[in-house]
Amino acid sequence: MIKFFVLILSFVCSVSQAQQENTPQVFATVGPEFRSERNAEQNVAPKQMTSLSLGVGYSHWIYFLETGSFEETSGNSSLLVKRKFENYLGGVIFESETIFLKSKPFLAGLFGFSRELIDTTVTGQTTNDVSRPYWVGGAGTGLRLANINPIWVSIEVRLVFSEHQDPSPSVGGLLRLGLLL
Amino acid sequence: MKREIHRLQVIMIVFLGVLSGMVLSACQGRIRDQHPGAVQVRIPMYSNNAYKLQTIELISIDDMRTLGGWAARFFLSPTLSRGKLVGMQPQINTIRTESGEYIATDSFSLQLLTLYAHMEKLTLLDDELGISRGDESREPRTVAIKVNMMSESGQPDSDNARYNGKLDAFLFAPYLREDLPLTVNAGVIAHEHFHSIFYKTVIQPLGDKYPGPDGNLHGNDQKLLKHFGFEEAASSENVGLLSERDIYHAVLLRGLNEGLADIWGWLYSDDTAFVRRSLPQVEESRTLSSGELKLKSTKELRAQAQAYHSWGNSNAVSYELGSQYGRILFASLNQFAGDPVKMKEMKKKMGQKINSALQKMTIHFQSLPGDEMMTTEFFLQQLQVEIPEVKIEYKAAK
Ligand SMILES: [Zn+2]
Repeated sequence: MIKFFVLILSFVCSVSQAQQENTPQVFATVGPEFRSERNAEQNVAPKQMTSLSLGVGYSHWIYFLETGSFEETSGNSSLLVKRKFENYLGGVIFESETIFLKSKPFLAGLFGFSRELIDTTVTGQTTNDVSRPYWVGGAGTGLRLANINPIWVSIEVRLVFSEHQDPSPSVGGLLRLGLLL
Repeated sequence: MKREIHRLQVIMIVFLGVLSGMVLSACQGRIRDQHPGAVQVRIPMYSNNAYKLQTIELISIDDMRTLGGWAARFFLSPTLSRGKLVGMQPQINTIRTESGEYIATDSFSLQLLTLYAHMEKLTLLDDELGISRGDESREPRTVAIKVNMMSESGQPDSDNARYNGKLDAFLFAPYLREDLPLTVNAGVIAHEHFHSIFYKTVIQPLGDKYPGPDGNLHGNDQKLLKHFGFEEAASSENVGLLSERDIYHAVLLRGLNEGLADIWGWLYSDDTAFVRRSLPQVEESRTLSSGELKLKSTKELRAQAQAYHSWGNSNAVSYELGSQYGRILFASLNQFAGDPVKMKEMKKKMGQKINSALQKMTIHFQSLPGDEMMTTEFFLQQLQVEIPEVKIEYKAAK
């Protein structure tokens, strides 16, 4: 199924020659992203982070860099673990011309890495650690409200694969608010 | 411009190629952190009067995610079914640093990793001391965490750890305090581990001759087992049928079990006040380095055990006696405090000799005539014979 999805995406990519002459557009969005993660007690719980994207758009294509992070703390005052998760991704969006539910459907692909920063406090003494980078890839699809240019409002469903996270792939969602100037 | 778009699309195709490769590999199953052989983990360990993060090498872990390995097998909030614990296996979350160390990313994972490490180290210590568990195949120890146990009053139990001999399992109730969690307290874990040694050296060989339903004091095991549905063992009604002699011996053996478990906690962790580190409300008397070196006489213990005449209440007497044993043995080894090398050697020897003295005491106990009682001093006298280089001194009440 996923392989099929990727094939479609690469097909769309190679056939759409973006024939119109275009000047590049600035793409900047911010919004909450949700991703599922399994904790030590085996429950899959959603994690929320704030995602920031910055990029350029050419006609149907938008190339962007994205970063997001969240923090969580666990334990008691004698044994405290603070965890910061960070995402660094490059991505591309291909947007269709078709209007569906007053919106333009799009496909998105992502690739990059994540890392985690852990501060462990044991009876008052804190030690800081950083993970090595873990590879991350993903694919998504979504809808962007049409006819409100240059404002960008979109909702996206994502499947994220990671070398480190569990479950992998994890299903996530992303709301983007921003501009395409 | 057209040329530029073309180049971007080449990048795009390369990107999608890499992505689909990743997707395919990820679809074949999550890449697991499997490490046969040694791994480095960073966990809180006791040194110089405080708990600090230290890097420890573990040799028994096969799967870091599920903490699979020969030292321990974890059950999360298990239930009892046909006399066996059944429950989910937790999975821990860790990161790996550039230098290859594993770091837990949440407190619960850190607690499990630390508990696992102590189970491995305690098993290796048993090997070093020549204490056989009777299973050379290295079956992992059963460790239940976040266990829903009942306290004596029937309330959900918390801030407690026990060893249950019938299940051969360590049971940790949820820890709700702000102090050091029991699951990372090296002394507490070693204390519980000793209960398993005592169970296999004394309680199991005595079988029906053991004067009471079970050997250690952290809560009423009968109620616990009943709660789990372990009806066979739920025979606390029989306690009322125990003779005066049995009650005395039960209090004595339970006291000895607790006192030696406290010594084991110190032998392993070097911490003399480990109980209070997690449970500050526990009396100062549990601290090994405090108080006089008194020992209750047989007569005194008989009178006290008789006066209480009920299991719940005689616990206090057992603990009191246990603290006396603990302090006496601590003081006997503390003579070597000025010489760390000698101290280390003597601690190891004490561990070995406690075990052999217990075996001899068990044989003695089995052969006692029906009208004779084992004295409160018997074990210490036996141990003194085994370890003449350590002077075991105390004031025995007449
Ligand atoms: Zn105990």
